Amino acid sequence: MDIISYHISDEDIKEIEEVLRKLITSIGIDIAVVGDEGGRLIAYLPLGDGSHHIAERFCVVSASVLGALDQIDNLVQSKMNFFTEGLASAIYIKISPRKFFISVKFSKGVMLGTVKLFVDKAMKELEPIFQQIRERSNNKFPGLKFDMLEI
Amino acid sequence: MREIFIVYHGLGMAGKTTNLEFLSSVFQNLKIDRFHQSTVEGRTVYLDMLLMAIKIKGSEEKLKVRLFSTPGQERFSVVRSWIFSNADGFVFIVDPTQHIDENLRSYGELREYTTKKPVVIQINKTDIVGEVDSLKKIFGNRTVFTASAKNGVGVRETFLTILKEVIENGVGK
Repeated sequence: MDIISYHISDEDIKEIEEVLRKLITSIGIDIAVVGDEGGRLIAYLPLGDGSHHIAERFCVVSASVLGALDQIDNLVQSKMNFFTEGLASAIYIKISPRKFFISVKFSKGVMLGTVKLFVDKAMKELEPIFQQIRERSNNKFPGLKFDMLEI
Repeated sequence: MREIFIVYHGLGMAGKTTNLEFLSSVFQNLKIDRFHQSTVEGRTVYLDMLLMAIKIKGSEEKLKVRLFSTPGQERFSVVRSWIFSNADGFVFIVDPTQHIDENLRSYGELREYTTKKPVVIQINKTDIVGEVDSLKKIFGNRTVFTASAKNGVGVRETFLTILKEVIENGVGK
């Protein structure tokens, strides 16, 4: 098993946010997050008061669902995506072969097929960025020492 | 923001959630979020997480530290491998009130991940079981702390040590 290690540059984040911006403006989505299989939040939109906290939680829960789904996937040999709906909203998650995911929450007034289409399109645009991030060998904590932490 | 992901692992009821609860109160000023998905009996199902942000001296940046405990029961072994593969380091909680073979079976689950990632051992419940020297020897040259998590003894030291080892390990070097 490989050690998963990557460092995402500010430039990567900008590119990812741009893809999310297009996704959000194309269809009515409440929140869109990009995270990795470990539940680390990479980018999210829309920005705003308290939205970071919500995005963090959404990301961790999405990753956990995908982690559990991964086990089911071994049984059903399905694609790695997930959909669930409540009374007013629904959630769709799609994971990339690079083990990053896009998770979106949207109103039930928005057609699921449209959401899938645009999320798939966003994933295709993000795939080269994800590939670049994964292939970039890096020390996760360059220049960081324990005694530099204010703890 | 750079992030460290540390997993607390051990048998069910070894004290993993108690460790996170104590750290959550001690590092209240660093805490961003804490949530625990549990059964009515208080047993962790899947999510038991403490998220903190630690300021880096001379920088505007903060280091995000995510502590995650695993559901300890044997039946959850299928989901644990996913959590382990994403960790930067581990704390293994030994429960001396349970059979050593059971503890070692649980420790063995970490084996394939700890060849390149640091692990710190915490022998918990020393307020119940006094003498643990023989247990310490089992873990060879690993860093071992004795603790009583419910009383907050040894919890902070364990956390700070694994944090230090993870940073020094560099992860991915």
